[in-house]
Amino acid sequence: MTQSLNTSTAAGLRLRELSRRVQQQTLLDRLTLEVAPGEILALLGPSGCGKSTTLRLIAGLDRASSGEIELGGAVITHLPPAQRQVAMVFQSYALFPHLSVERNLSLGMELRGVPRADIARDLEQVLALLQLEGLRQRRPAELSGGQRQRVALARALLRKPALFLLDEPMSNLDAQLREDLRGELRTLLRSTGVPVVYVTHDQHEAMGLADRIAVLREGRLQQIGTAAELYNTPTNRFVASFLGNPSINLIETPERQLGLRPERLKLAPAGSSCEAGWSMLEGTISHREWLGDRVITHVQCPGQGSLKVVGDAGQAAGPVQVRWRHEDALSFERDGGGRLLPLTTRSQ
Amino acid sequence: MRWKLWLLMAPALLWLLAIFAAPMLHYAWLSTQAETVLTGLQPRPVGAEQWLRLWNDARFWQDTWQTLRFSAVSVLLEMVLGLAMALLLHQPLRGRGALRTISLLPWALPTTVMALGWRWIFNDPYGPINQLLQGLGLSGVPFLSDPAITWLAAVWADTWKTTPFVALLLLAGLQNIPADLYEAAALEGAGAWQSLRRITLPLLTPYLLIALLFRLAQALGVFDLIQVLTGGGPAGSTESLALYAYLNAMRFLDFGYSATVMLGSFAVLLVVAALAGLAFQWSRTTQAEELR
Amino acid sequence: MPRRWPLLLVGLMTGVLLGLWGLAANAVERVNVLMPAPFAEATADLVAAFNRDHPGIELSVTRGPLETEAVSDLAISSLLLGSSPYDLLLMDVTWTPKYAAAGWLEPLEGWLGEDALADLAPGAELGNAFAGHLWRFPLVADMGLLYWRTDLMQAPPRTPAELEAISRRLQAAGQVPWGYVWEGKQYEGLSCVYVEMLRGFGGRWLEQEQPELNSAAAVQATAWLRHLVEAGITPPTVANMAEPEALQAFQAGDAAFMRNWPYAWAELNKPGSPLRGKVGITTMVSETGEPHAATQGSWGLALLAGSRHKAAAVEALRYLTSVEAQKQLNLRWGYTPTRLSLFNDPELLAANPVLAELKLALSDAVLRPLTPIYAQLSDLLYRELNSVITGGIQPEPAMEQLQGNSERLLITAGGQR
Repeated sequence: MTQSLNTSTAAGLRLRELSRRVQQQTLLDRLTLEVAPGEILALLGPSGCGKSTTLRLIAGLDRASSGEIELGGAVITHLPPAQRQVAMVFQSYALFPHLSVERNLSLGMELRGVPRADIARDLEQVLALLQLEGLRQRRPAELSGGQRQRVALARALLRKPALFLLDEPMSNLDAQLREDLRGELRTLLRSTGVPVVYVTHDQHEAMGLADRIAVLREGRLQQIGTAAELYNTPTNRFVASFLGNPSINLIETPERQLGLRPERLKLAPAGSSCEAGWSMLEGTISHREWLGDRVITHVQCPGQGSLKVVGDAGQAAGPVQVRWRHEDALSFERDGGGRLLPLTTRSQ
Repeated sequence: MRWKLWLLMAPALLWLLAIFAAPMLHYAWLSTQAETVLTGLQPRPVGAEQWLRLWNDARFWQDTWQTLRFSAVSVLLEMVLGLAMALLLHQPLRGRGALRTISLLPWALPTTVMALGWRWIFNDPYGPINQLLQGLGLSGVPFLSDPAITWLAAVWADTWKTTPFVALLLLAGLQNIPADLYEAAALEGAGAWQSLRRITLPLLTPYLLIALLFRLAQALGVFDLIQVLTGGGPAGSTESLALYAYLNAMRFLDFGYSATVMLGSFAVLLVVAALAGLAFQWSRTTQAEELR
Repeated sequence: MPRRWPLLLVGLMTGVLLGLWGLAANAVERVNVLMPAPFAEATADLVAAFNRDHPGIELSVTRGPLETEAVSDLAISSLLLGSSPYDLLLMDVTWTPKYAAAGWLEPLEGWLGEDALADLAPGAELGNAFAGHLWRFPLVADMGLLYWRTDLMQAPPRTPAELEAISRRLQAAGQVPWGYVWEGKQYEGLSCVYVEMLRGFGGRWLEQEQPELNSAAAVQATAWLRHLVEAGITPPTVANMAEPEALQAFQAGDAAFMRNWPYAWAELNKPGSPLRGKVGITTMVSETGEPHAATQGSWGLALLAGSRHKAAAVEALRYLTSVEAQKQLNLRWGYTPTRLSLFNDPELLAANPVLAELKLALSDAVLRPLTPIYAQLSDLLYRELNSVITGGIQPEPAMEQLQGNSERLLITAGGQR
């Protein structure tokens, strides 16, 4: 937040009413957002939500139907990709299969006419940074997934871009490696001091890596903010459902839908009385998932379906009561899914 | 263990032997015989005389040169034009499917039919090209009656027919190159030409090689096109080795010598294939060094 | 024992059936003739009539390719495989010795009698016998002719110099762009053209089995053909002209003279032709005192040695070459007959006014060398001549080279060293 004070947003990325339509279909609908230098913005959403489209529009790989892209204070909406000074890490990494690691990294600089001495210097630097020295003569086919990702990152770094774009760079790695790399990647990206746009469908990755998250759905921006803002005060049911694991419980009341985070629910003996400021449902435990650090208890509540409750190990079976504080419940319009202000929930 | 391996391969090897080695061996034997209409089509051993005759046969060497010249120029043209055509057909154009089908038509045409077509087109002075030239007040071109020009007419007809084949092969290769490689290159600052040189061509190399070998082998054995278009003329300037071998067998009934000519052509083919392989190796290493 | 009865029964039945089938198959003798496409078309009515008159024989025609040599290639391919599906073959005159030497033909004198050729017009009897046997019987006579424009000149030239002079005059007057078109392509037709000029200059191709292609007459004949191109009387594209191309140029009015076969007459005089009634035919020009030669190019039927229905095939051969059949072929298709009596037939003379000229030309017919290796000899000749015509080599060295190559061929062919 301090960054925004020194007015360096002028050098960041700015999307204004950016849209892309192909034939009758709207892939992206008037997206407006900003990314400050040094800030990592995650574009999060299910497949087909427009996050990759956004990335490709920024990179110049697809043409915007309307709207504007501004980078470093200049409008780049109609510039060809080569002139945008943008680096991108592809989901597939898009390494050149016929070239060695070294040549994969130097090709771009050669194309841009960087002097040979500079190429050699930068190459050594980035090889050392990403611990690729031992692999410099290998072809991409001879590398592991993690190594390929590092080469792709190295190539992007050597571009010395004004903007970093990453398209699901972790999706080809196994789960363990993904978690291990998250911190490293964050540090690396932050060190560049340029805006970073990171596309992912993995909420953990988004929350773990990004400063802010933009949630997209069917080409429309749903909400943009920090992970905590999105989690605690989602603008609608979609955002609320998309973030959080296990996902939010939704129950029906006569006027509205209530969203209950599993970790905010408490289990109590069946039939016990409820304190003021609390609500409750009676149900029966159907099964439990023991995850080591926590337990997910699935409670079958008549008329509401199954509720997930995260907490300590309690009773294993039988009737049980699920209860929650009024202020912990999010309430949504039943039809539109928009969140209703807490003020109106008071009447519950 | 090893004998089992051989046993398993035996049917394939026998098959190869039957369809490839057996005729070759028969020709090798036939090339040591005189078997002509004057021997009542019965073989009579003559030792190495047919080979001596081949060695001293200026026509064989002239045809060798002409076959090589035809092959080199037409295959080179076909590779260049085939690549251009493949690149064009690979573009996401409207009606691309129809365009692909249409551009493949020349290849689908029987060679004799297309050779007849070109014979008419190249006719001097009544063919359409010469009629057009004369209509423009220009003098006609003796496409099929000038030894300096006619071989080029044959090259052109061959190129017209087989470029689509090369294009088809290369198009398959192009479709195997992931689009994101081009996008990555574009983001790195590559223009169209650089993308072609740095990405398309290297990744297309195996396909180019296959197309080259296919076409070279076919061109070195060119027969029906020449037979119909020029009959080997004028002044023998378009006669190919295959046509010469054919004349010896079917027209002259000189089977011993025909076998010798055929084996001689095969030797030429082997030499060319070896040279092409070496040249390819050489270009790869020098290219690798140049890029280092 | 009783178990074997059914087996025996089946065997018996099979035997009977096979026998019946054999009888049925033998009841009709199938005779197959291979002909170039135009002949197959022209003889269709005759074949139908033959089959009506001969219930025991089923004559059928295989339509071969259009081009002469392609027909030979087809026939040879089947003959080399050992079992040819053909009983009769309509052959060009130059194939006879080759096929006979290869052992593919059945001598005909035993079937047709020693005097079989007695009824033929002078010139038509040539080229049917070789090495003491009769191998084919001519169906259609063919000979090289000089076509000339009756609307452009009073009388046709008789010497090379006259042809040149008339051409130059007409060209200078702008009446024709070219003087003389002929077959100059590298193929058999060029040999036919050359044989006529060679004889016209007093030369021979072979004399006593030895080539004489470097004789003064041979060089003169070659030089004249080249001279025609150099002098602009013949277009340079003659180097790629076969009969259809020459006819195309002549019919378009682009030349005053053409060398071609009798078939062109009908083509030039058919309704709608620009030259209808403006064309005359005669024999080729020659130096004074030398004959006006016409290359003999007849087509004849030969009986294949491998035929299993020889008697029936000979019956068909007789029928197709009969006076009646030839008359019909001439009336309907303009084919020149080979039987002498037909050249005096009033009905034919009325329908075909040039028959007298054709008879004359036929009597001047010159054969190409009768040798089994004719194809090689001719290949050497037309290749060399085509080189001269395209200006690749001068006539004299060309003919020296040709003489050497021809001599070598005669020695090496067949391993007769």
